[in-house]
Amino acid sequence: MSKLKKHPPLWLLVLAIGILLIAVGTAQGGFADTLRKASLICYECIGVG
Amino acid sequence: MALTAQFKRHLVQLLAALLYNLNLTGFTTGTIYQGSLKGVCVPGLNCYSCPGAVGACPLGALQAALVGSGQRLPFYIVGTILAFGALFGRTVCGWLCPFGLIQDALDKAPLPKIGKGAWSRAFSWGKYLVLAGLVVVAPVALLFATGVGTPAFCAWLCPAGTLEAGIPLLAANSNLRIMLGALFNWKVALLAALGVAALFVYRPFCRFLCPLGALYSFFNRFALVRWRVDEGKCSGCGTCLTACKADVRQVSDRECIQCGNCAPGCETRAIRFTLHDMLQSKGRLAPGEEGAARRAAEKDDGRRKARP
Repeated sequence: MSKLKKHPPLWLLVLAIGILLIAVGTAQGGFADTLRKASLICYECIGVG
Repeated sequence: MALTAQFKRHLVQLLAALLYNLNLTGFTTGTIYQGSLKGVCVPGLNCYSCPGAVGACPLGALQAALVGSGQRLPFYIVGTILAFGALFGRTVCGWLCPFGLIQDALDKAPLPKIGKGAWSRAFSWGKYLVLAGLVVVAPVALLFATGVGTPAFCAWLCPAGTLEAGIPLLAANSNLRIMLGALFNWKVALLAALGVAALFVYRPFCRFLCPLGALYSFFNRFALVRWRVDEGKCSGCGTCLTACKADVRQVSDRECIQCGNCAPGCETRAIRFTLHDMLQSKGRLAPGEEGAARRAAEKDDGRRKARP
């Protein structure tokens, strides 16, 4: 039991990496890029591009 | 009257679809939501050009980031997919995807069904090809070859975009209708084919073509929210695999969409939902501890057998 408690579960490590990447990406403008793309109608997506 | 587990799942699917598409006025005006929430991805496949969409599609955003962010690596969207994967894995497919809900509804049609087999197991690799080919390689290759990046999966394959965005926008917006051409015809034909296939084959798009499911499958064995087997209780009878409509060889393997169809048939009650255990009890196994439970059970068995 004590051995299990020493290591955080894998999902938690991956989640932490994900949150770190989201923070770095947001600082680099990733959020703004996604917002810009998603705020316009994507003609390819709807099949008229 | 107690709600069945599958009814609860369908209710969650419906709520998720509604939450992703709260901009209901968009369906009448033929326009899309442009608020700042659109910069946040939803976990499931939900086209950001859907008139109702209030969030971004992770696959659309990934392709857009791959072809549109210059020299920057797409940390934001990769981090988002990692976070959703770590928390949910393919629970997203079974519980939080609107296109999955539509296929589940089509599967309810009282028609003869084509069951799983070696053919479907082979086809299940298709989604990894789509992920590599249409989501990553083609958009980047087109960017280098022509200077214009195309979100190849969204443009040539995604049936969710056609159903949730193309058809409602074109129905409500006459300016868009004049731009119709061969691409739209192809996408509608593909959508129709997948719709017909879903009447006879369980979730054909999710199982054989969806690159988002392929991405989440890498997290399926260790995600926080998933079905897991208490190997100390499992008798190895295989009833769970018989009950499963997908190509699962083990609960929570890459093909498992975490629907939970397998759990009610388990006579030893060895299949449990981690979220349920977290909410209901502190005494049960934590995610990742099933191996320890099995070893402990084996050790205990050994001791008992050793006794005269």
